[in-house]
Amino acid sequence: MMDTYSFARSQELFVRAARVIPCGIPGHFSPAPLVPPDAYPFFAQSGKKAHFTDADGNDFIDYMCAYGPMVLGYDNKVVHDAAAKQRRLGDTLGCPSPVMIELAEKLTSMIAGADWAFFAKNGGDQTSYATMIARAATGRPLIVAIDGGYHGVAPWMQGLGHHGVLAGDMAGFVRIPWNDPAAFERVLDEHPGKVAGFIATPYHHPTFEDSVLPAQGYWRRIRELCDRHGVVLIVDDVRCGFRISLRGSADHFGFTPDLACYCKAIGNGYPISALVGTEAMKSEAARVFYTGSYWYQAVPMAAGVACLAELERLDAPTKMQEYGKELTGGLQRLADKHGYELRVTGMPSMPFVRLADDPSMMLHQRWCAECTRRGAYFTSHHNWFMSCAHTQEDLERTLAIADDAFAALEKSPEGQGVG
Amino acid sequence: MSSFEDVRARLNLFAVLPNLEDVVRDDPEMRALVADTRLTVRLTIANGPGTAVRFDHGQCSVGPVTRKDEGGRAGGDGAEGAGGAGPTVRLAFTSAAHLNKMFDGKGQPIPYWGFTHLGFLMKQFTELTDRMAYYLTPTDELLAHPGYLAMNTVLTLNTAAFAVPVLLGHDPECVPLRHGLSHGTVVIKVLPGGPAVSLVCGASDVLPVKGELTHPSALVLLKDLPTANDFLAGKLDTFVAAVTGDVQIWGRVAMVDTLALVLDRVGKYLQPAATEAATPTAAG
Repeated sequence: MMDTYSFARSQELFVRAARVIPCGIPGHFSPAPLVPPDAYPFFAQSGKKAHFTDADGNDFIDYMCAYGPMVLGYDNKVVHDAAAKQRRLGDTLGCPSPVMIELAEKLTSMIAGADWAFFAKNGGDQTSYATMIARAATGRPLIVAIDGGYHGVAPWMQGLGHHGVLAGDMAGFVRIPWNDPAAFERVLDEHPGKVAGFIATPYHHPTFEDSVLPAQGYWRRIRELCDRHGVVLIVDDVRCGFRISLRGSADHFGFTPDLACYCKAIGNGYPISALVGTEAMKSEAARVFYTGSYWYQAVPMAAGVACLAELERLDAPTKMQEYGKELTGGLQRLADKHGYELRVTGMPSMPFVRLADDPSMMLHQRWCAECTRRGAYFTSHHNWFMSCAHTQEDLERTLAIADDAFAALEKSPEGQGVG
Repeated sequence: MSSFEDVRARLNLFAVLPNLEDVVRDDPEMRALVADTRLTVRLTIANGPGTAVRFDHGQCSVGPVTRKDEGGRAGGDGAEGAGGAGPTVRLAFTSAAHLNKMFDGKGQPIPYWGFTHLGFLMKQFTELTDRMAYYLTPTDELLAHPGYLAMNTVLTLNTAAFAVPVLLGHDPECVPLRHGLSHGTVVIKVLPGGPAVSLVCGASDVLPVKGELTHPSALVLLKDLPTANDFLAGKLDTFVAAVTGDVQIWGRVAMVDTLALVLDRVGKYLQPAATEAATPTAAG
């Protein structure tokens, strides 16, 4: 059996953090859904390529990639050099830097149907902006979204019942099931002339659940309904963007949205997000006032230009899809060897993986924990992310870890350590 | 959608009142008090919900009104019913607010059936509910006693579990959360050996059960009684506790997340105390 890691320094830091920061580590980086938390690092001190080193000095092959942004690998020289060059010129200045135009030109040249780009910091900035543009463009109140679809953390994205959300926050939103154009049609019929926009991710990738690809003809039907009823079609490509296609995930699935939101893979960790849209939406976007103190930072824009060029040079989506297929295929073979069924859903570059033998997920949580304790950073609640920095050596090491983790499950009787 | 008073009344009837079962079972003095009693106390809100508290020789059960509970009426004033727990005393409330006032110790019901058992209502039933209120009204001093800590923890855990279906069904902010609960059982258990409650989540309802059911979809394990008590009293930062191991969560984390949102709403109705609210001084 392999040696396993310990996390004393991470745990010590967490206790210190909890004294001065709500939750210790809030938001999606909170260790609370990492089960059991004592199998996971809480703080990282450095990163290189597809690896990060935690506060205890443990090295991990990272399959969360900072929950998406790390697409070329940590400490990428090409991106850092571009950022450093811009930093020497200036970052937050009295006017935007010309690099903003360069980044907009880059994105519009890459993404199918994109005629303009607008920059902010986070994906949620753009999904909210997109809904405002849809309402401004149509003069209508309602936005249709998908049950369980994640678009950020603004009140409308969280839903009634979550802390700090009022009924009024939800008044302009209707949720329908994924892959159900008939449900969308019903909303359109029930609210004639009231639906401004339809927002969804290119495929359904909720947390805690299997991912679901669009059914045959789904997006074509949604596009038809949007066109027929004058509804703005918004794609939230924040998570999938550039991990499926450099022309945008919508292009991969055969349709063109009116607005598309990007973030994670634009800057390889530099804070930048983008909304792109069709020419028809441009004047509407211009009318909606929307801004932020640091949205004109030039360094992340320069990083974005360099990162996107690297993604093109490497044919990044293909590279990540191939690595994801090899990884998940290898894991499935190992699971089979040990008598388990490993289910893989979603796109190979960002698969949702779970052991299907136990619907409670406890077995899967134990296996992910055993892998992480051995140096393959697997979470059990969220899709994983591939990067261009993962290597054949990483793959082989990961599979060896997974094999050992399966063996550890067999040595530990079912439920041991639980309860 | 239900009003604040409606939801609070349902919580008092269906989440707080079932604690009488535990008080009678676990407090020898209270068990002795009803050792010779065979009687059903039925509480009903006009045009609203009701429940029945049944005493049967040292045992107490609280649950929905059944046809058996109608026996008292069929047999006349306080007469032996047809299979229910003895004769029935019926306490009527003109409104949800009226019932809530009684639970606050500020109002009285209208006993319109079973007058011959007013003595029970005035003495034993009031003593029982006073004792329940005592166990649900913790102070730091009381919680320093292990026996009290255990009892308060059990009753608060029960109240939390039995509040879930009420809130998911009637609290305007919780109703939309219902779809976030997949099928399966969530067990909340105090280590090492209990107490525990189980929430069985089905297609259209959630059934709370005292004790630990097998094959849970999700487990919430609380390190010990003091930790459980702090957790239930909202004194614990649960996100931090889940990381430090004071609270362990296994299985379908999304179900636990949803239940946590529901449980966070209990205080809106039953604070500043499950305490004051748990005082059904029936006979004033």
